[in-house]
Amino acid sequence: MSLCDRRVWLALGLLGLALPACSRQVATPEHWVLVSQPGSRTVAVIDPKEGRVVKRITVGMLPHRLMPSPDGRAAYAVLVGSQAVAEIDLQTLTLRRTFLTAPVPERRADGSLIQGHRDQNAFAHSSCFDCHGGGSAKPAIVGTRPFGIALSEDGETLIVSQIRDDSLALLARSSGELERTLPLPPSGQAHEPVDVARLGDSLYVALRPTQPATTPAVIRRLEAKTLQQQFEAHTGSDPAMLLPDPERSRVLVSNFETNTLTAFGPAGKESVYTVNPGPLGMLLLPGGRLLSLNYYSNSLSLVKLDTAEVESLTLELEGKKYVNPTHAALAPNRREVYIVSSGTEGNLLVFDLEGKRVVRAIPIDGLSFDVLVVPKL
Amino acid sequence: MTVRIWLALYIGFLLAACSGTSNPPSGSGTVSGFVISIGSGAKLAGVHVEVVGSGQSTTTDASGQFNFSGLASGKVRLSFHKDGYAPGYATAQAGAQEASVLVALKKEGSAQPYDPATSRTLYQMTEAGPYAVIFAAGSLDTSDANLRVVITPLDPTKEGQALPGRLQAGSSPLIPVTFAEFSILDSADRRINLKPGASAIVELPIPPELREVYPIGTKIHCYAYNPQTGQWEDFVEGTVELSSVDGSTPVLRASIRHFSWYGGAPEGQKCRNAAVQVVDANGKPLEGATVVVTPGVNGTTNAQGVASVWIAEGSPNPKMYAYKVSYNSDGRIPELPKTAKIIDIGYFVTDDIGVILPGLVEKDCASITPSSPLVRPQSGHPGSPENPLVIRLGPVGAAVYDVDAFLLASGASPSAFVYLAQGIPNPDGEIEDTEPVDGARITLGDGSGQPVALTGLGGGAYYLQGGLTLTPGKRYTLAIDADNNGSVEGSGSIVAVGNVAWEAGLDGSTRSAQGFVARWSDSASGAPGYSPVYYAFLSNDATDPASYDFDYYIGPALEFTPHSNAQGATSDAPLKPGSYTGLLWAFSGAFAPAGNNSYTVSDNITGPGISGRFYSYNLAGEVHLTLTGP
Repeated sequence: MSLCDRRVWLALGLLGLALPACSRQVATPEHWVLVSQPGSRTVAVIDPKEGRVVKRITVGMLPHRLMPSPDGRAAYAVLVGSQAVAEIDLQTLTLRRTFLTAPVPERRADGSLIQGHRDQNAFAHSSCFDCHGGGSAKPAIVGTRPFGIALSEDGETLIVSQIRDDSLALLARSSGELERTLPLPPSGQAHEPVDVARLGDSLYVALRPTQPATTPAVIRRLEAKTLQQQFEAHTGSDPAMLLPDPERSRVLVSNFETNTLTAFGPAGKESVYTVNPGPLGMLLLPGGRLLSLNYYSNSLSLVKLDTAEVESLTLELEGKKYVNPTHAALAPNRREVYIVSSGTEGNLLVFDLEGKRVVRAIPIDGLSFDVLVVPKL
Repeated sequence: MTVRIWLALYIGFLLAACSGTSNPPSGSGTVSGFVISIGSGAKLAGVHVEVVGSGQSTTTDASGQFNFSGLASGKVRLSFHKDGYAPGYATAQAGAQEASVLVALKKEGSAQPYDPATSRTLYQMTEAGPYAVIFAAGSLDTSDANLRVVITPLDPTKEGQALPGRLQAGSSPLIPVTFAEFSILDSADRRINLKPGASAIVELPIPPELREVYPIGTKIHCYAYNPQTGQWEDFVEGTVELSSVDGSTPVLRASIRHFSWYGGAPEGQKCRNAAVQVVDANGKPLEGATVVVTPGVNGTTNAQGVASVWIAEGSPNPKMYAYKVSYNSDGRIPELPKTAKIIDIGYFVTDDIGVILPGLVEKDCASITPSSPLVRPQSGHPGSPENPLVIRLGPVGAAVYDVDAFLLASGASPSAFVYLAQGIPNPDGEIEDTEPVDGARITLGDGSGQPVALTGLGGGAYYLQGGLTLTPGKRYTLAIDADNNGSVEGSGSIVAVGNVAWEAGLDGSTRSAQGFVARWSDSASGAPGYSPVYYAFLSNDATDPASYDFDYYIGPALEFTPHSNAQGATSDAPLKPGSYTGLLWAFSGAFAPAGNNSYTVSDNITGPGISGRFYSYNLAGEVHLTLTGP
């Protein structure tokens, strides 16, 4: 073979290698990755192509759980420390508005008047962050501690669990008005609604005891329309997240204080999966698999839901260990997962599901929490 | 043997140790530093220092110094172990320039036996209250039945230098509240941890100075230190509750998953930016000095000796100091060769920070980045680039200073006295013999103006000769420049005891012994950071042992119900009828209640080369009363 021939073959070979790679890139929809950053009151906008944070949207104190709107044009961030939900416009990547999850109180628990609220007409505001945290009022972190979020069946109502108020707040998505507050009666020591999830016509609520605790939490099922309680069952003392599994008509619970995930069907507990210690976030994957983010053991567990086979993986890239994974989101190409590593040094990890390894680490704020993939509009 | 002979021998030993070094090593990939005891301020010899994950290790020499060279560029994680001390950790950035660290180790708590098959609450009692760990049966990852549990408490208001790593989450500084190190050791001295999926509960007392800031029910973020990554991790929320051990101490209660250094530290919300200039004893700017701010974001000085630092609001007692490790090339410690490495350190007196802070530019701590430029406050304001805060460094010598200082703000003759001595610590960091130090510059200030220098009396004694009004309930800061070279070796800050007095009408009164409650008042009650300990003593005038009776109280309350301690009395019997005299003292600062009718005295002046106790006291007027029988 002449030198010229070899060049042609080399060129064709490179072309052959390049084409599938290009076709994969073309197939990947343009998207942003949003990460809630409680330490800095922001939601970070990350461009995974550039591998960097392109914007930080200040939303309020302690943004935690994230959820997309049904039309994909907005995202909601629950503001644990500002008694509100932030609505982010995904076209402009700006804070569009905030919704209070409970009325601004006129009086303290002991009955005394909160003079500052009256003087500043706090009742007209739609987030405690307007004055607390962002303004001059102290303390910075206040309110009912909203945490979990779900969407009603018709997509018109946000359902928010409030840890300190032992209640669910129902917010009209169109107006942002608080439609209803549903008090949740305690069950034994369990009284803090840490998460809420909807599965078909049922709402599931995880009620935990005040932490730290050794007494059990409960998973309570409500009829979604009437909000009537249907049943409840015990789980570990510190449930962290509820994940609907529509294919199997059940909800999974991560028992943060142990190394287990529990699945609850319409009639109660169905199965238990053993993962690594400290499961927090969960993500359903293609092929009947689930990814468990094991915060305390700095690891992931890949769970085959039907066979209960579990494979545990560490978070490491180029000899560096990444710690405290919290939540994950599937990339549009369905081959990669974005994982929040939430130590005091924060990173968004890109995890290759085929290679089962971290392929990239993008610096974000320390103590970040949830992650959401949204389209570039 | 006198201290002077020890000094000579010690310096001789140092000279011998250093004589083998003809040239300073290259800076590339070099990390060096000093290890001290936070209790005595002494440099610690024989500390095993390891580069985590590399297998490289060394031991500190007689001057507490260690050195690694040839390390790969990047973050280096170091661990420090010495018998009798809790493990210490530090990180450094290896690179083209030599990096240096200053590490303080804390003496470990007492070891307690534990059989992991049982449920147990183990605790270490301190002046702040009980530090506890609550184990569920079978929760530890071992089959060894003979474990030792060591709890080493750390009060960050006094000993913050001993906390490992950087207390920072992203760009936000963390404000330390309460910490401890938990070591579980098996029969072979291996460290034991929890079984997968198991947890334990820990309770850490809120330091008395911070109890008003963090009342019962407050949620505080908790972290564990991970030596493998050199970070504070495992963020969980803890709650301030009453101790399950004594039922009265406010403690931070949280779950723990990894036994290491653990504690509570909320994120700072607002930070203020300051320019700090570090100079040597002659006023020459020092480049490459580290300025440590607690709570805050540290800085490193530039060629003009100026560093930009961020001071987080929310701590009643922020601290700032600077240090630099360098060679004795200018012979500033004449006894050492010029090739010897020495550490220079200096403190910024804390009350001044509180006065200056409001004039500095404030930003959200979360918005700070490592490259954030210095924010200019009003030109000329202390902390502005034109008028930086100045820290003067001085070398830490072989000897360590020991301070005893008291302040009497009440009564007819308010006064302040200090006794300063120095000694050479033994290899374990203990000072066995001391000699007085004269010629020091010791100042006392209340944060409202220039501190006043105390007058030397000779024999290591100093007193306040005037120039400063001492007021009960006010905070005072004592700064010690022991060698009078312009560099502050250490400082302490206390709230002066108030005017204490027995309940009005008690003196000369007649009361029924049954149900009698002795009460008193303190004009400083409620002052921020004020945590006094009272000693009330009631005794009758009987000279006959069979008739003699008394009772006493030591603690933080403003009343107590006395019971009889007479011969043959039952435990809850009232005092015998008779004429009684009541004495009452109050102490603050280094004195603290320790529960069970007792108190402790602990160092509240700490740092490399210095330790000491700064306290205030007052005595109430004596009362005489008559107690009657039923």
